[in-house]
Amino acid sequence: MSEREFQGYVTIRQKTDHSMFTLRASLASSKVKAALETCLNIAVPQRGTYAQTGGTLLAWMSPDELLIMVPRASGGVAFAALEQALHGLHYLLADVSDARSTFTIEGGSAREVVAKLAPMDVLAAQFPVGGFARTRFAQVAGAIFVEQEDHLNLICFRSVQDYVFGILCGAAKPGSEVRAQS
Amino acid sequence: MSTRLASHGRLINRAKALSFTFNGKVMSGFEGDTLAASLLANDQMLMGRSFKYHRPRGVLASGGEEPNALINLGVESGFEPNARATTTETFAGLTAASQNHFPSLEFDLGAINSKLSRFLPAGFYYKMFIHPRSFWKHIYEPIIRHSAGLGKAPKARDQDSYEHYYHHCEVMVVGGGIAGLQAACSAAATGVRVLLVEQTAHWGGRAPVDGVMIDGMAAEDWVAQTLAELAARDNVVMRNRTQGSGVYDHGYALAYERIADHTPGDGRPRHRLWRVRCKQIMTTTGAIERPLSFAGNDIPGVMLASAVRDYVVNFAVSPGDRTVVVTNNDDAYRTALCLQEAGLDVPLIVDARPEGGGALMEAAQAAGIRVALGRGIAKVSGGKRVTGVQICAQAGEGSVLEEVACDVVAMSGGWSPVVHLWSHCGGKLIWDADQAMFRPDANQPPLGADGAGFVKVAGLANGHLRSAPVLEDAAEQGRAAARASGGKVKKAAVPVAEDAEELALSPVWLMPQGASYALRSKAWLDFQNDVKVSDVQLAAQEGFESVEHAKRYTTLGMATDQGKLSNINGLAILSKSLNAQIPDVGTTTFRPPYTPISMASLAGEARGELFQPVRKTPMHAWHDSHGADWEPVGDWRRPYAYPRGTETVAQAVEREVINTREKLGLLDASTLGKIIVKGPDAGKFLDMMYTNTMSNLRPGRCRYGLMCSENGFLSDDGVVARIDEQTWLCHTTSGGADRIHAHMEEWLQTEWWDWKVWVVNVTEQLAQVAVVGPNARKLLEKLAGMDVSAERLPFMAWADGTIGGIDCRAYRISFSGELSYEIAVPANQGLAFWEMLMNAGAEFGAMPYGTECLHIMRAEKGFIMIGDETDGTVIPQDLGLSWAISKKKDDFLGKRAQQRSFMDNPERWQLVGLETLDGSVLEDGAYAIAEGTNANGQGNTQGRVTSTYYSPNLGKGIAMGLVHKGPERMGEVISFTKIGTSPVQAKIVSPVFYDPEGEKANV
Amino acid sequence: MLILNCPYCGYDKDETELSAGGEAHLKRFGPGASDEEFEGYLFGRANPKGLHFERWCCASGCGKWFHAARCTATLEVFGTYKAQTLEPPQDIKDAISAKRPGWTWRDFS
Repeated sequence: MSEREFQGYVTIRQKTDHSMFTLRASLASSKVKAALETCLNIAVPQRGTYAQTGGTLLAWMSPDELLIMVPRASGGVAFAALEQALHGLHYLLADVSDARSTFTIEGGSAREVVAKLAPMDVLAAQFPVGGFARTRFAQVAGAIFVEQEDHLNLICFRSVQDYVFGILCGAAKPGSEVRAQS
Repeated sequence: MSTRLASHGRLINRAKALSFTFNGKVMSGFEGDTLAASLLANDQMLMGRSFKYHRPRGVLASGGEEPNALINLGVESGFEPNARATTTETFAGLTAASQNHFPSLEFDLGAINSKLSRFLPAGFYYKMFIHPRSFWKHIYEPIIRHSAGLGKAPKARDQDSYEHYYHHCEVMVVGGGIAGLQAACSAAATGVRVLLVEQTAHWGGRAPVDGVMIDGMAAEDWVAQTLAELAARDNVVMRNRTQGSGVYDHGYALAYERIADHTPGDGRPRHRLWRVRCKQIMTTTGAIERPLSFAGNDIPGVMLASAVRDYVVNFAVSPGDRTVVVTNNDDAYRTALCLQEAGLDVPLIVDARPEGGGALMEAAQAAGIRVALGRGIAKVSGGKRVTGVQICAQAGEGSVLEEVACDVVAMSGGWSPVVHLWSHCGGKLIWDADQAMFRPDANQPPLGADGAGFVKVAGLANGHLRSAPVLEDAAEQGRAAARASGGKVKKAAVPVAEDAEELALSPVWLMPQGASYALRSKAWLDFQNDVKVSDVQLAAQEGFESVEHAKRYTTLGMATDQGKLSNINGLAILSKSLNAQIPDVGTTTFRPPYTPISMASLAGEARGELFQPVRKTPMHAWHDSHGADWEPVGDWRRPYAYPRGTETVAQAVEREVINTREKLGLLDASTLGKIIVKGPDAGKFLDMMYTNTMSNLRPGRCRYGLMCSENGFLSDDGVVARIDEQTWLCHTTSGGADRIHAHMEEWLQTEWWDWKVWVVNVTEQLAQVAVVGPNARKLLEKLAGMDVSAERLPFMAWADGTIGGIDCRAYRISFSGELSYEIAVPANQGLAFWEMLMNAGAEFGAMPYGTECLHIMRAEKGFIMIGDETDGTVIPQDLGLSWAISKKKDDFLGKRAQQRSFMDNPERWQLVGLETLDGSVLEDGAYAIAEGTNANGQGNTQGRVTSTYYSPNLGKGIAMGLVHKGPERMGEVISFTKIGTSPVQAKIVSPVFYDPEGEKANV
Repeated sequence: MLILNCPYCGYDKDETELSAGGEAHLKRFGPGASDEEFEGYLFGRANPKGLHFERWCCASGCGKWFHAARCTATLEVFGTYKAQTLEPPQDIKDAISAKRPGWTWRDFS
């Protein structure tokens, strides 16, 4: 997977330093929650949010789906540890590291650039730091989360990563600022 | 003549002169001009030709309602037709050309139509071009097509970029006149998020032109002060050059921002489409002045009174030296006073009302302007320019009382509120007889998601013609909109506006009221489409009583201006002809956009390479650099074949087929759907999903499965592998992964939500390569890492392991009839794995093959393909797949449907192989001909071709098809259609053409 | 262009993020059902002007199916609720009763 970068009025960068897993399990189950907390040392996040400790990130995808990101170097170990922690419960854990691509959108106008592509309200009051949402970016589905006020992350499917990089670069093109930069 | 004045011009910057061209002639204007203003300043009143009669036409209005001054803008990749000169800002280097004439604007051959106008009445096209029928296609249509249309279609690819922007707020205010500014202020003061848009480059609307005073200051100063207040608020977004163009359900609205129309080439997007979601929409969209219907009202120099005033005050442009004002209301007197004050001559104000006496009339008379009461214009003299007017009694039939020389006629028939945005989503109108206008009915607004109105209207758009009530209304409605969207409303003072008292207008729909046919047939209602008073009267006479029918019959209110000037006058004439009241006749439907917006802005980023998302496998770039001829499969691109050197695609396909059958072929099968199904109830669930049984599959083994819809029809197929006690992996077709994943989720969520099953689509996690051919095992053994022997990995088994150091899962499955392994590796290693196979396979004759080779090989083996053999009406039983339908299972999706009598009918067409007698290739989709004809006189059919190819291995055409009772008719010869030639004879044979015993795969 | 609140992820979703699934609260008929029952299940759909219960999927969002009670004539939305139910929950029924007293829909009222 290639690292690429575009310097527009925000910076678009592809990020490849993590592994990503999908966990299907009831997030309301106290056993599932306990297993995850013990294994990852992070509480399961509330809907519409994600939680992060060190290099590990948990994001609420649906009432029975969690996205788990860990540093790429420890991906295999983490996957095995999760399998062990969840053993005996009703769950499905799948490695989707290669199925998805992640882009960072950094700069004061990061939200504005996303607002050119996604129909959801990405303004700060509605989508604060720590917010996580699945929505549509132009013609493809994806997820977006706010790491810092000027740092958003976008996750899409690998097969459309060229398309997503293309629309992000277009939206970030210098001269296309919606609000005048001070 | 029209010219630039030394005084006035509040919107232009005289320090910045600009040069531009019109029809190749170099002209000059000032920064801040509209193109119409610049043209008038260069004495170019004639700006276009009308649509039907090619009549010479000058500019009529000063805004978006302009019907006449439509021009071609720019050249080549920057070309745009039908731009309104009144809404185009002049910039240095602008290139404009007039439209709809040949050979030139000044001398146009098409103007002969005008002389023939009495032979071209309403509905002419419908009446004339019906008989004889054969003439339509070859004579009428080509001629009409040649002469129809206004601007030229652009030929070059658009050079500019466009984008969308999703904006969320509580209150959107459309229209930046004093009402919009006040409404935005009142709403913003409550803390809610406000978006204020204005279609022109300037704020304040008409108030600064008309000399309104607000809170003791000139309107212009109040506007500047209010703008500064709004700009200081962080809950307000303001955009000029942005038109609120459409209102849709649940508070959705589109706004069209023209960012760089006036600064082409500066690197900014040309247009931006704002896709707004808000709780409340305020339409403070003002009003449009109505023309008056008198003979010759389309001659260049006849203009709206307000537009004449706009050109003088805003742009320092005098449309002419001597202006006759004709009106039925007080407002037009402002134009007379304005012209007088600018030093221009106003010989006469023609007022159709029998009595006068208002403050504005008194002011005009005090200024020495003659006022003729109870008078009208019988006829305007002139051809390409007004030379004078003939005055008559409004109450009469048009006998001329006096002639007055002039070069401009400023007309005003009253004002029509701009109700378009109110009406787009279902807001209703009421007829205000006192002001002779339709205005929004506050009791019947468009309804939002909560069942309450979500559009509010204020100001002129709400029928308030005086400035003081405009501001009061705007403040009140602005607060109401904020309250309805969660704002905390506090009491606040409302600015007080002052302007001249006005007397009531007197509705005038025809001038003079008893105008003769000769006059009526020169009295234009719709300037762009050449619809006259006489046309609408004829339509009514011929029975087109509904306003929607009359519109389509006469073309009144069609084309780019959508009747902004003509509709009310037209329906007043129609209602009079029908002897009905105006509100009973009603209006035509207002549909977005308010004025035409660019197609490119609607497309936004979706053009060129980003037109549609293309899904790429991890080996996509390799295929591309190795000559792949691409085929779209769903959103994926798959190599159809890999032509080499001078090879044709067909030759490449043949080579790939023979090479794979004889040596070794590699296929990128990454697009194949891969779905993991896991849980205690996963087996039970898959037994419902598939027609055959998956619960009794042993771990380590694979089984081919069929999926049907609940309606019984075949929907997808693929190989299912059992991974462990609770886990299965389902392969789907390439185009079917997302659909089948969604199908599984839907049943699990909405029908069997108590079943313990989880599903994950891992299609994109894995790259998959089919290693196919007699040398397949040799290659894998050379790379080493796992045992791929027939004993360890027999047909329809799978195993995990490594090959050449890469972790993989190998499936011993075959869609070609050859010895075949499908090997899945993590997607990020797909390219490395593929290249390793290619390099190591060179000594075994490895070549990549594409989808057409895949198709030929599967057809040679009689394997069906979803989408070829199936079309949504085919059940597995039709395809000889009864063996894959469980008889033991109580239930599966489609089981009940397949028990219906029509599905269980032995008369259904069924799958067979077809072999032409002459070895040729049957046409795809060709029908098998049966005897006799059906009730419609068409030949009967008894089957059709579903797949057809040239088989390089067999050296002849092979096909599969569905034939009536086909399997019972082996050896029979039947005829198939072939386009353009006589039918082709083909023999019914087994669909398995190649290696019927399956020996090649079983090694 | 509708906006519906997804009861699972909690977001107000634009219609372009959703996919429509037709009438809600259908009862499945499989093997053993009469021709009439099966026909009704497969093809019989209400097409009311007014109150309707519909299935929607949060397709570009959390992927969950939910139900919406809305008026097909005015597009008023009375509420959305989770799909794992055989009938509309009481709070949805109450919300409809407040706006459309005396309503009925198939077997519900």
